[in-house]
Amino acid sequence: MTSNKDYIQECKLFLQAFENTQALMLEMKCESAALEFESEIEVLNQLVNEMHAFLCGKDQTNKSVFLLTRQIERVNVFFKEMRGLLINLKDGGQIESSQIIMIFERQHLFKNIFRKHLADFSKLSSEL
Amino acid sequence: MNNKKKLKISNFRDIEKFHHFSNQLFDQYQSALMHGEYKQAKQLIFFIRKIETEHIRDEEDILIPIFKKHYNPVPQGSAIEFYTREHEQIVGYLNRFCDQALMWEKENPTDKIALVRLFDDHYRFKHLVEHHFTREETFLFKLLDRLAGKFENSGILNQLEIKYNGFISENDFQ
Repeated sequence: MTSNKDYIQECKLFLQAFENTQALMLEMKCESAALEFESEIEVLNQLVNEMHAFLCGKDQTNKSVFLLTRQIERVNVFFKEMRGLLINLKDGGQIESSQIIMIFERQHLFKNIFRKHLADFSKLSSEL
Repeated sequence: MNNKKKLKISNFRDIEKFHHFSNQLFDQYQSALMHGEYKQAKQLIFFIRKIETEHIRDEEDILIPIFKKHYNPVPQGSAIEFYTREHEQIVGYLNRFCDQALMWEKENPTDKIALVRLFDDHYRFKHLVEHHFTREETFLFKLLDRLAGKFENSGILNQLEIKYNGFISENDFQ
């Protein structure tokens, strides 16, 4: 099991890598963005799933545990969406800049949710 | 949609057409940035700032005073400060985008993450604008239209139509 400190560190690294894929997307290098994202998300997805399993084994009547568990579930839903969007980019042939802008806006929301989870996890993980 | 298509402003709700025009220009500005066309992006964002500033001035100098005069107290969700505060925020964002565009026209960005950050800011801006336009369309314009006959509106509508069509003629960014 990854330590809380490592979990936070890995998540931060993922966010950096995620922004690199966004930069590629904004340069219209969609295929490269999708490939980078796929490899990054594989690692993080496993980590997040482990943390989810760990939290599910804790007392869910504890407010902090409940909050962090639900946040991870929300992050997971977004993971699936992000993966779907980027795979479409890889396979979709000609991509319009307006499509990229729409995807970017979903990604912005995802980053907000993920950052909020990280901030809360940093604050509350000592209680776990 | 053809950006050069003339706008017909028959009532205040028709100002939505100007909002739509401005949104389209913003999409073009983002697209120019994505294609590394920084000069084009700068021209677009400066043009957007110009037309939005004039549009805001018309609202604050003409429409809002009429609204305030006839609706006292103003309906909930329609306090005058809401409009003016959001106007200030919109102009603040546009000023920042213009400053950035000016820098990148002179020296193209080497740090690609800077572009990601700018698009994050665009998202916040678009969210604010959507919220603001909805407020205006739901309250200000709709309630001004209900006052038909209580004040001379045809002159104002005509003036706005001429101005918006002037912007459209000026728009060389198709």
